[in-house]
Amino acid sequence: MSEDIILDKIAGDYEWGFSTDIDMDTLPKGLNEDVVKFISKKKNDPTFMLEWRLKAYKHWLTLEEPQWANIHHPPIDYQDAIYYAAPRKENKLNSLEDLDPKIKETYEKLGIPLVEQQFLAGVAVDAVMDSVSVVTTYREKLSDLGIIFCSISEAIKEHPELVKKYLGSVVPYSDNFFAALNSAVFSDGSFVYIPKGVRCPMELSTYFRINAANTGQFERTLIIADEGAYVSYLEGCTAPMRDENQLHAAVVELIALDNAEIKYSTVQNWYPGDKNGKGGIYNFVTKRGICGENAKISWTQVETGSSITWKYPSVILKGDNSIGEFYSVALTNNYQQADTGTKMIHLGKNTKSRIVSKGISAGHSQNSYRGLVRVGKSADNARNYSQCDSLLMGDRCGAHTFPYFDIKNKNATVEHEATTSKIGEDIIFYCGQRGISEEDAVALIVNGYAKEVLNQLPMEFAVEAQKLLAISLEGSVG
Amino acid sequence: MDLKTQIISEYNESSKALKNGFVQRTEAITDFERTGFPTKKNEDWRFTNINAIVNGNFTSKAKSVLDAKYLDSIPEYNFDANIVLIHNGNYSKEFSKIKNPDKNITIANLFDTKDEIIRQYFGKYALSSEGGFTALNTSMANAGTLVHIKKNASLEKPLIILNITDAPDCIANIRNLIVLESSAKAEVSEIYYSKGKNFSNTVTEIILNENSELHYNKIQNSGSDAYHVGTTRVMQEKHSRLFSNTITLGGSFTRNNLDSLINGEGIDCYFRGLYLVKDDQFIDNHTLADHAKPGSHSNELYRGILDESGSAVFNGKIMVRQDAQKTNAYQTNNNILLSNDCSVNSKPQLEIFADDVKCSHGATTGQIDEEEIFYLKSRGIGEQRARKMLLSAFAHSVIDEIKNEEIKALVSKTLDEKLG
Repeated sequence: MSEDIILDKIAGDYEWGFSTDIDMDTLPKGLNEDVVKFISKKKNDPTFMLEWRLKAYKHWLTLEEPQWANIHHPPIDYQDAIYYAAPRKENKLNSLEDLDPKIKETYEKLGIPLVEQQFLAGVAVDAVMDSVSVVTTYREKLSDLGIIFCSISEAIKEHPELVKKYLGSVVPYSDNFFAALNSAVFSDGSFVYIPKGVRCPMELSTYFRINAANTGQFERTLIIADEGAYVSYLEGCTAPMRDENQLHAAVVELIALDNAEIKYSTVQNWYPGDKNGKGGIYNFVTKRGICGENAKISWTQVETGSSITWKYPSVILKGDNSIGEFYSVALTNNYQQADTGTKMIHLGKNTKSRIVSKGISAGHSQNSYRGLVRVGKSADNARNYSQCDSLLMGDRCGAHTFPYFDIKNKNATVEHEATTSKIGEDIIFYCGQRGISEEDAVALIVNGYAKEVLNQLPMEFAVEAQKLLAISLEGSVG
Repeated sequence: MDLKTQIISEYNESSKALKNGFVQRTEAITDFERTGFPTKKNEDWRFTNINAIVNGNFTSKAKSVLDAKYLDSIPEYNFDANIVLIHNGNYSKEFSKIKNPDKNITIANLFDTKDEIIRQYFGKYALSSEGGFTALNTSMANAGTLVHIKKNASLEKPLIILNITDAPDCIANIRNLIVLESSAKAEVSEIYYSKGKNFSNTVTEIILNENSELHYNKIQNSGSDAYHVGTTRVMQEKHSRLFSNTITLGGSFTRNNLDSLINGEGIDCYFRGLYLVKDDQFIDNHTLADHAKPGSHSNELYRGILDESGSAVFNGKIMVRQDAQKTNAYQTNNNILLSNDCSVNSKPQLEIFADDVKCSHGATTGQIDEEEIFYLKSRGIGEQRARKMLLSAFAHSVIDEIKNEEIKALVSKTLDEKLG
């Protein structure tokens, strides 16, 4: 393939790049103790939360931004971001009709199932615009089962005992630079509690959108599945096109108590910057779950957006017989950079983990898998299988694999395989013979390549993800 | 006094007496003064604790007389080969046995010979700015071997560089330079033995010109109180072939760095390694196959057996640079864990900047398959023996790659004894 074709056609446009003109309530730029106090006051935090935020802020001041990841960006000026932005109208609404029509329009453009007809889709949505949760659908139906699905700020007020017990229990504020920052300034996010033995009848979902300019989005998600409970949770993200880089530093904590199961799926499509690498979201996210006995946590992610992704959804397999899974497709194009992977920490006996990571790099992008499998001394019969494949398109991109294995138990069995390859011209030729255009052939092959991961997504998301892959790759035939 | 300060003061005392005063010495000691020893904050030393060396009270001034009887007890000394003997970091002309001097072949003390090739290549690929141990070696090394094989010549008998370190608390800085001109062939083995507590720090630079072929073995069977850091840097030109075997069976602390710059097409680069750790031994292997030019091939296989409270680190990196299209690179690391007190950190890395490549790596960590034991037992083989057979078979996929039959047999025998 000649390079001109690649350069000519590379990358479909970012369809979700519109911004909505909504009356916003924003703080001036900068971060200091007063900003933390302001956010806390704005959220009507109880004292314990304010104290926690301040502790996190003070700890953050002592930390330095991590430098080990295989990503490069100009230094971030943390005083040049806005740490709180919310739609001005009072946010909690009784019914969907009260929602600001402009916000509703935004979400309709995004195609999120927000209104009643989506009942069929069986998805309950908690939509987060900039930093504030706007509306949560189907709350009543869920509350009949005892399921709590609300914004984290509501949970802090209405269920302080749960929040106090679990917030920061998996990702403590001292965990890392971005987690500390998030703990200090997070303004909203979702909260889910599934009571003992309840199987959540529908997919729960959050939709994040950064709308305002220069804002950072710091959301915090806390999901607790009590003993024997089951929940499947989806998360999707977009942002308008802007020339500046915007910061997104979220924290997600999952707690699966004994015999519980949590399935967490993400389709991340933050604005990736333009063809020349200008603008885009810096997505620095900490996601971690902890498993009790016989529990299972499964992360599935499709990462197509963000100019930089720094994200390692992890599972601590604390209980005996617990299972951790990580399925990922990370696609980078143009000047995107992704350093993503997982950590599987085996502590309990007979714990199992499975990692399937599929990287696709095109254009001038850099795509890294970084993963850790740790088997502690007590984790008898721990079992891990990892597979990390990379697909390269074009000769200006890079694919990197950094797996770490740290094994301290003789009964452990750990296997890792990684391959790197490109789409063979013979395959393209074969498809061409059968009247399939080059572009379609690439989409076909990429989808086949990513199938193992896409199959893990709930139906509606799988379709979206497939489309997303095809669009993000448009023209980048190598 | 910590080791760094002590080394600097010893350097200042003795620098005038050091032979072949390369300009690199002064640069290296400045580099060493600046960087010191690596710490765990350095990604390449993250799992490697060098406190035992830094706090080990080692000195470069230690001396001892070579015990000829001890020499006789070392089987390799009597192999059918050219022998260079390095004793406590000094070149022993008396006990070295260079059998076939030929005008196309130079085997000599690197620091006591005049050869234009030294100026051309010394310190060119092992840079003292890269790390404390190389800087230490470049500034202090006063002995080592120059192997220079001219165009189309081949070294008939293999060369064994026998490194014996037995002075208490001795630091032996050993520096080797191996240059094969185009179409030259050679087999060179570095073998390490030690008695008592000491520290050997070796840097070997290898230049393989067009179409040359080198079989390179590094075999370490030191005593249980020996510390070793060894860096081997290879530069390969087109159509050259490197067959390297790194076998570590002894020592308390061993760090092997092996890098090859694959700088042309049609190159074959084989890295093979075996490590056996017991007691509280620590063995760390870092390798890099750096594909800088298109159309070459590298293949790596490292296997480890861990027992008791031993620990091992494997870090293998395949780098494929932007121009290195049509690269084929493979890497495998397998570990068998026999006890619950041992641990292994494995990090097989791929960094790929070209698209038309075939690269893969695999890593496994596990135990002996109980079904295989059962199979052997059902054929009347006792459990102990069955286990040993399986471990030995696991190790032999590396050992069998050693070309030198005498060395192969010896490694195989040593392994047998160690497996008990």
